[in-house]
Amino acid sequence: MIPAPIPTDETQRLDALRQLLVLDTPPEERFDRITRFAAREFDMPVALVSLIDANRQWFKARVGLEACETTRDISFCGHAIEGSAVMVVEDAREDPRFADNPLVTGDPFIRFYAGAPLVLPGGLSVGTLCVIDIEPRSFSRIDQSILSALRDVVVEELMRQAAEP
Amino acid sequence: MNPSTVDAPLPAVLLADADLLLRRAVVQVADELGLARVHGAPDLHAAVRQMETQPFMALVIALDRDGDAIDLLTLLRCGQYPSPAATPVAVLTGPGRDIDAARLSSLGIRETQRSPCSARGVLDLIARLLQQPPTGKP
Repeated sequence: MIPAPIPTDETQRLDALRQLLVLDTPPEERFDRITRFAAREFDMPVALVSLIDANRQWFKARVGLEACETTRDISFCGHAIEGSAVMVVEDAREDPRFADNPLVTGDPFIRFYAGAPLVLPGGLSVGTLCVIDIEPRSFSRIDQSILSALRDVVVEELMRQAAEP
Repeated sequence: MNPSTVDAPLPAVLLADADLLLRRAVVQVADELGLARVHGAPDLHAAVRQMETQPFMALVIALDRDGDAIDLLTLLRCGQYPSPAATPVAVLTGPGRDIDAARLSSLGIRETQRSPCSARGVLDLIARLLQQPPTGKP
């Protein structure tokens, strides 16, 4: 397994994340409806708004997953925030970054992952909107565009929250 | 779906549905694909305002319980808006929002989709509408 890398702008990234004032806050319908929509749109059992904190990924919204956080090193989303494009893993067993990841070899037995980075207006990536399946899948260009459109709504909601008094 | 590959202006399409996420995804992806310039309307009042101000090449409208959507389509077929009276139309149905097939047929509506709709489904619907010859009965 290749642990989730630490971006070169990690200090600024964490500052931006903390300024959103969203970590460890209760579930909110405005985020929950986005994960519900994504799970239904792509017929996926799991959809998450995942925020990458210093040592963990914490889920602001989640469908189909009991855990509210995992360690960062085993997170798929920790890899996805390295770029700005949607990261797609069609079969995690075939990907050297994830083949022996405990989330793949054990519960929830992730096979497919697609994550759109939550890139803030300043360019810093604080997490992802992602969908996960326990079966290998493909994800078309149109699917990626739809996930990106939903991601944009998540970012708008995060920024709106940060701007509220 | 067969996105346009030329630089011609994209056909304008009206999508009237209350679901913000559906509208956002369809508007953004249709533009990225070069399929259409989709104008979203959250309700029928907004749809009427848009219908009054510009022509559309296709309409996708969620039916409502009060029949206002059918009234809008009836006026469209009577040529009361800038859009051609025979503009291709699809309707989105759902619990309490169904109408009989004969009424739909009388308005020249051949495409229906049941809510909750996927963005992909609505994009495919728009692509089909734009390939159809005008089917309405003015």
